Amino acid sequence: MPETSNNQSDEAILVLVRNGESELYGEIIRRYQAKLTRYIRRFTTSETANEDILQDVFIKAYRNLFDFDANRSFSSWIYRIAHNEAINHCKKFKREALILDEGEWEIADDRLELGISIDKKEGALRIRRALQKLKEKYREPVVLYFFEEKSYEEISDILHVPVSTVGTLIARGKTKLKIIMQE
Amino acid sequence: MEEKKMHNLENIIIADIKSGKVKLRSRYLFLSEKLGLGSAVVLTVLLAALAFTVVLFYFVSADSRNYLEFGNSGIWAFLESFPFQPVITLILLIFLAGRLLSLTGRAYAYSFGKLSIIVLVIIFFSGSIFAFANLGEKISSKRYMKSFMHFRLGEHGRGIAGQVVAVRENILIVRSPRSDIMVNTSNVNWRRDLRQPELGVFIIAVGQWQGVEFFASHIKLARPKDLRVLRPHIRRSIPEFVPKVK
Repeated sequence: MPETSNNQSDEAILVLVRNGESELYGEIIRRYQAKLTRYIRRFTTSETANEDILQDVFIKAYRNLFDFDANRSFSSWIYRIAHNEAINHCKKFKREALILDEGEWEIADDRLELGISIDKKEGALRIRRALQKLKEKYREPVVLYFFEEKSYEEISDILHVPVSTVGTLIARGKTKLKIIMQE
Repeated sequence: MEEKKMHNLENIIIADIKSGKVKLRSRYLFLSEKLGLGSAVVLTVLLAALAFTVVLFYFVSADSRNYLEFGNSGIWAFLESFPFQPVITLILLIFLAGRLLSLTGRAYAYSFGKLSIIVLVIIFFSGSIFAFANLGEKISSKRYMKSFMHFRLGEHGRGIAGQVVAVRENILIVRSPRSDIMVNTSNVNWRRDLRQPELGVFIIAVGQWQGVEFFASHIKLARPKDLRVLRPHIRRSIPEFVPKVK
């Protein structure tokens, strides 16, 4: 694999992949594997399922590379695929799960401004339960914004909802989350 | 352990790609999908604009709107003559156009309100241009539009419209696109501005059927611009009147 690929943008690498340099796709896998693993883990408790979904995401993304608009963000595009695959998995197994990694409670505490003074372990558990109680339409933008640190535009691209709606959903989701946490 | 797993996934996928097990879908496939969707949007918007033109023409030129000029007594006739089929078709096409448009490109990034306004403006604007070009009249005069638009043109339960083809005492024989109607005018309160209609004029009346006779309660003469939808469907010659059997 050419060393130069490390400095190139995702979009530039993908143009090369589309032009036949398929081994460069490995670089894309390396860049997104950890991020997507963490994201998909929010939908499934099973590690095996997580791996299968992740593999499907990368294969689907590769197969559909010509559908990707190189002028737009690849990150949003692959997150959209991951989101759809994870949702399909949840529907298939009629299971909804939400897992927060260690330390994510602190992110939530800082960015969500919940203002609740409890210890980290209890906090992580409570926020996880609260997020599970939150309606899916609020939970997904909240998770993408506060935990995946995506912008409004990126969330709009991932969830296929208007940018203005993303803002509303996040604001309402945050309020509802606070209410649930205080219950 | 985690790193080993990650490396493993990369190896599996790259191996599948190299072996040809996983292939890129052709760019032309996506291109044709996009072109197909784009064409479907254009076609639906065009059809919706044409439906709007027809509805507009019907409202301006058919008998339906004229019944409202009789006040309360014309409401039933208006509802009976309302062009439900073209209006429902127009609404369905607007929804379809909106739905198809929302699937194209980054349309999802716009709010439903914005997208609806864009679709409606395009449809109403192009529909108005078509109407200005007299396309509504051309379309509605086509034979295949007859069952779609003229299913009860000029002849309803509480209202009729057509050309006077015979005048007798308290009786007018009015020709609608469907048949000749015996209109009893004994209940009509003839005002100063409306004398007994003459042969050949077009009239609009509200009232009620009693057997084969239509007992008019109000009658008005159609202006030259009225009943443009109806006029071409009435035979020009005035043959011997044959009462219809109801």
